[in-house]
Amino acid sequence: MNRDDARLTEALGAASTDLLAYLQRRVGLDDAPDLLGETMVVAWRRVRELPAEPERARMWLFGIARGTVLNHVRGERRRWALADRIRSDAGRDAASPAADEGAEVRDALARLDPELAELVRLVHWERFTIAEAAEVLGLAASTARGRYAKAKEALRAALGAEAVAPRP
Amino acid sequence: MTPDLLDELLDRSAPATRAADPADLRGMIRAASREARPRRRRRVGLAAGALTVLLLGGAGVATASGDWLWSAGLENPHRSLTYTAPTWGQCEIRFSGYDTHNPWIQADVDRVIDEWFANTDVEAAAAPYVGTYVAQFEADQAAQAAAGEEITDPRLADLNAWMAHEQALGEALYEELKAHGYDSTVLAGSDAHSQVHCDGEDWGGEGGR
Repeated sequence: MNRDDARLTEALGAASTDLLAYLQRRVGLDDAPDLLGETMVVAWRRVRELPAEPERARMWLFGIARGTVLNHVRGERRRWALADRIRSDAGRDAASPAADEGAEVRDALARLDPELAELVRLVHWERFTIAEAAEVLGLAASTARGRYAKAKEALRAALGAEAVAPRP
Repeated sequence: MTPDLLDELLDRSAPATRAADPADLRGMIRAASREARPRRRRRVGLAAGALTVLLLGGAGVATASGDWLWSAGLENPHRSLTYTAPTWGQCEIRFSGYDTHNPWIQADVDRVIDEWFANTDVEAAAAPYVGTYVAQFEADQAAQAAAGEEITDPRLADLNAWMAHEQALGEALYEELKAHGYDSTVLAGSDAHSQVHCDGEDWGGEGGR
């Protein structure tokens, strides 16, 4: 194993649980393991582009995962045998919210411009900072901050201003 | 910053997830590594069908190549886009860059292209265009079928996917070049080409459709 391979193995090992959760939140529990496999294959093929700094490497992997989600939206599918094992890992995480909790908020997010919605999801679902989310989306941090504020304004309007007004 | 109710609602709106066994995830990392590697070896060792297509000048002209090796000008692995074809599996498109025939701008055009491939999620950049192209091809083919000339080639979906990704790559890269002042007027007369290889590609006995 050369140095690049070792670095990618480490980066994938550190991020794979979060990458799987990200993919599950975007495409559902059933398809996410296949997209995780796709993400890993693309990462291996582009291993020479892996950023040196660990946190940037993590963002790079999420950027690749986002590309697989976009392919998935367009209907491209590939089934992985190994993904079946991950699909069958049922009931390992009891910490997640109930499926119907937050449905109204998710609906409001879905009605936003897709780029704005993804920015909000990355911040609130994946717990990225706005700067990190900007890196995943290929935006300048200042642009992302502006868009994030605009998205929250739209969400406040959609969900009812009084119900979600900022606290004094 | 004081968290507000909307922040809390957004935090709690994340859909449910399900953790995987760490051993399965490690196994997937190794399997993905193996999946990625054979293509790198095959590129230099085996003969296989391949197509070279001119990106500039409209629909593109396909010519057969009997060599798995990337064609001249396509040796740079960083100028590439990967995608998953409907049945051909993982594919990689390599792009040559533009030969502008203009020594005053050539180096800077090369720089813009290299920096774009190095710093951009190329797949994500091309993605918005891919669906549009696929829809165009399918509409054209449906019209052709309605006229009694249905295309029965079983590879049609893979060929559509290839052409859509290739043209999408060209569009996304062109937007970047245009942002640097290299629009179609400046690039008029430039040459460029690309090549695709897929894990399970099938170009038939004639090297192309």
